[in-house]
Amino acid sequence: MKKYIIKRILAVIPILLVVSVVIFSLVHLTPGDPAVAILGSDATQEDILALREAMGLNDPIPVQYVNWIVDVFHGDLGNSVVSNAPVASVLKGHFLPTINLAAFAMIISLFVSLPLGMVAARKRGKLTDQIVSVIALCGISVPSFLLGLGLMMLFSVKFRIFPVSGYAPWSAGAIEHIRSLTLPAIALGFMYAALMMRMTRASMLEVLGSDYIKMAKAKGVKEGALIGIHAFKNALVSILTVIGQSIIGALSGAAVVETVFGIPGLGSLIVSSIGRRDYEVIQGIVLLIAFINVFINLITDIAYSFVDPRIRVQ
Amino acid sequence: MKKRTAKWLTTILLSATMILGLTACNSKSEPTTGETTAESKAEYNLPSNETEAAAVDKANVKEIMNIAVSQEGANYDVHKTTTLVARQLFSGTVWEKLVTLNGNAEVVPELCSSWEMSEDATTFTFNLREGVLFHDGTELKADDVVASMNRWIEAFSTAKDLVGNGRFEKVDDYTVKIVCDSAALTLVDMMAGAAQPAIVTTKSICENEDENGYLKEYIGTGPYKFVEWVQGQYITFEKFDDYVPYYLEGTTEEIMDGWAGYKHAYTKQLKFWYVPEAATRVAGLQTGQYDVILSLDSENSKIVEGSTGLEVASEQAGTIALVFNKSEESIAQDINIRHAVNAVANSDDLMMSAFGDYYDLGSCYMDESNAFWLTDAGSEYYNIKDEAKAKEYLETAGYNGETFKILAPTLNHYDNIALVLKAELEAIGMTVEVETVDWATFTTLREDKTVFDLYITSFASVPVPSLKAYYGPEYPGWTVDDTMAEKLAAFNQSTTKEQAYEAWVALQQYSWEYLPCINAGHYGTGYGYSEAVSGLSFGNGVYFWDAYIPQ
Repeated sequence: MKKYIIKRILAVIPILLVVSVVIFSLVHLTPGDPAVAILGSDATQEDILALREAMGLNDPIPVQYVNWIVDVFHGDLGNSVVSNAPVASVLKGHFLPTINLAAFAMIISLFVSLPLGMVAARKRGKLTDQIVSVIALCGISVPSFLLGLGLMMLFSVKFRIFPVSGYAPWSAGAIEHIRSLTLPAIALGFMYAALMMRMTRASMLEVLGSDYIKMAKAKGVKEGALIGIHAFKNALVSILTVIGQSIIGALSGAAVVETVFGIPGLGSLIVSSIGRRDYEVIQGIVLLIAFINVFINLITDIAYSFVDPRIRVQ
Repeated sequence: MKKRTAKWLTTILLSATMILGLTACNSKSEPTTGETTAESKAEYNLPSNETEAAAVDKANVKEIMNIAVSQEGANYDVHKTTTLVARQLFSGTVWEKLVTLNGNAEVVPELCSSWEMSEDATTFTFNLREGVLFHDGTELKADDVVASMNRWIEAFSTAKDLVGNGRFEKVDDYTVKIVCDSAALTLVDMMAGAAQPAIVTTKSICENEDENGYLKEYIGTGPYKFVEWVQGQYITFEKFDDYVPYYLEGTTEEIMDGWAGYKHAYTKQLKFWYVPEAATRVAGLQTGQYDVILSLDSENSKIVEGSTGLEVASEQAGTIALVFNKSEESIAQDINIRHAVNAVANSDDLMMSAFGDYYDLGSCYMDESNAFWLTDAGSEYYNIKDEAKAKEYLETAGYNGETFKILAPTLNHYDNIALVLKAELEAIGMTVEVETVDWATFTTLREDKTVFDLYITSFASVPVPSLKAYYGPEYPGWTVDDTMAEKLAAFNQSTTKEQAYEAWVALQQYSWEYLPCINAGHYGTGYGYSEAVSGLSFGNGVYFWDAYIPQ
């Protein structure tokens, strides 16, 4: 197992290298540059050209890439070309809100989706199943920004329970922290809850139809144990895949929700960085997300072997 | 079968209930608003700026004011950026200038007590106020002013062109002067109101730049000191207890006029929250999370106006320019093509498509806030909406179905203007292509002479006409015309304001004849605030140096 994990971690390096080339090329070949973002829309052409030259943006792209990647191998992701802050510290500042938001969204998703998915499978074709299906359909169809705005109007503007926007870190107190993340976590988690709900229902239906479940039922195993232990454990392998993908999605795809609720996470950072063509920050975020992607896939693979010992990771 | 039908009905009803529930949540807070009219003149509402100091009970003022802004600056070194948010948050609040603008856009002293200009408008001498303190506790001296002003000149090419090789020099600790190569009548106007404000910081701060050449610290003389910028979240200013206020020239009353006058800093802390989403800013104002919100558009201003306890202020903010490509690569190099587009363009429709009610029409290239420069020269060419005339121009140009390319950024719905213009041009038989892109892409594409024949952009209010970038031969659109250059030079070489005005009238008249761009109209912007907030200062932005909320 150790060997496998080391091998997988080492495999990250070529992946990140390929990602770095692709993202560097995409970012630098896209029209627009940071000089205008810094100087503003009323800047004269003369000032823009001078700043471009000063920032080294006129150097050939391969030269810029080599300079950057050499620094990355030395552990230096560079400085934001716009604010001049080190990219590592910019990412650090925005990573925690995203992690907290994604974790909260996943907790909500799991608590909603797994029980409802199991109940829907058990009550297949009945009204409960239909209701769960409608909820899942809404979760998949309703865009997160629309849900977010709806939640904001209801729970912030009308009932004044949660703040409209902003992020309170843990240091501001657990209650404030949770209050600031509740609505964005629901808006973000609803879609993933729907996906997990459908996957749980489908997997459970498959397992519930198998012979060993019929045998357990015939032996008089109680309903709770039958669903919760025997069936769910075996359905978990496919659900784990969706959970892993959902975590990656929540970490890398929260841009809209973060923008609507003013959460200073990686999503809102990448949106503003793209708008400003802050090359170094965009590259840093994409590398980080690629790394997270590989890491979570590794964790998911390892988790398979614990859930189902028949699965050999090697 | 019936049972199954009933289940499906239940399902559908449940879905419908959820969707309606969401819709109701949204619509409930929206007030009933009047119908949009085709009236072209915006009715801006800008409250008076004067504050009755005696009426404010300083002991019972809320300590923190929360303000939601739509943009976050890349940095706030205003010598080197023209971004509105940098100017609006920092200029006058954290930083002050040698001179500033009063409510009539006239240049008045701020950090200087007086200034003199030589008769030939080449030499300017500024006498500094004594005893003014920076936020680091040091006193404002000539060395600080010289370092700051020369740094501003180096960063601002328009000012650099104006002064030539002249730079600020110290005369004594409280006097500085600059000797320009030629007449530079508008220098003080630029110092007072340019988009890149000529703010004054300490000499040591000017010398302590980061590797990209930006200020590392934000130290000024204003009524608030910079405390913290948490990127992506907020900026905090705190009252500067040792602030040295000044009276308007010739008065001893504690009042403000425009950006000038006696600043009280009643509120202990100003917190500017970065909230990019317009609906979130409005919802935050409705719940009281924010006391003031900026960048309120026409549509959202109606929601705010309809909400209990909230107020809206609005003002003209700048002009929309449809800039022609006058290079050889474009069919718009032909003046008749430019006049054809101008003849058919319906400014009302163009402006309404992007700004709702927040616009007004007017042929003057300058905005209302700079009343001195207003003129109707060339108005006979403005908004004529004459299809027959437009077709005549096309015929004279020998137009033969060539594609006319419009480039527009998606920023602030400028793409809507492009689509309306496309329809109008197609009505006179032109073949039109529209390309809409994000702002950053737009700024690069417009440098390519083969990409567009016309692009759409905006210009914020400027204190002097020569700051309109489209007169420059290097600015995308490439105005290379001897007559235009002569008229611009005549303006720049004026030695009196009256002479400059005459030159500007001639320049604007020629601009409408030559058409480097079409001035489509003037756009507005709004600010929403709780009715509990008093003392806001308006005028080319909203400012907080006298703002307070009674407890």
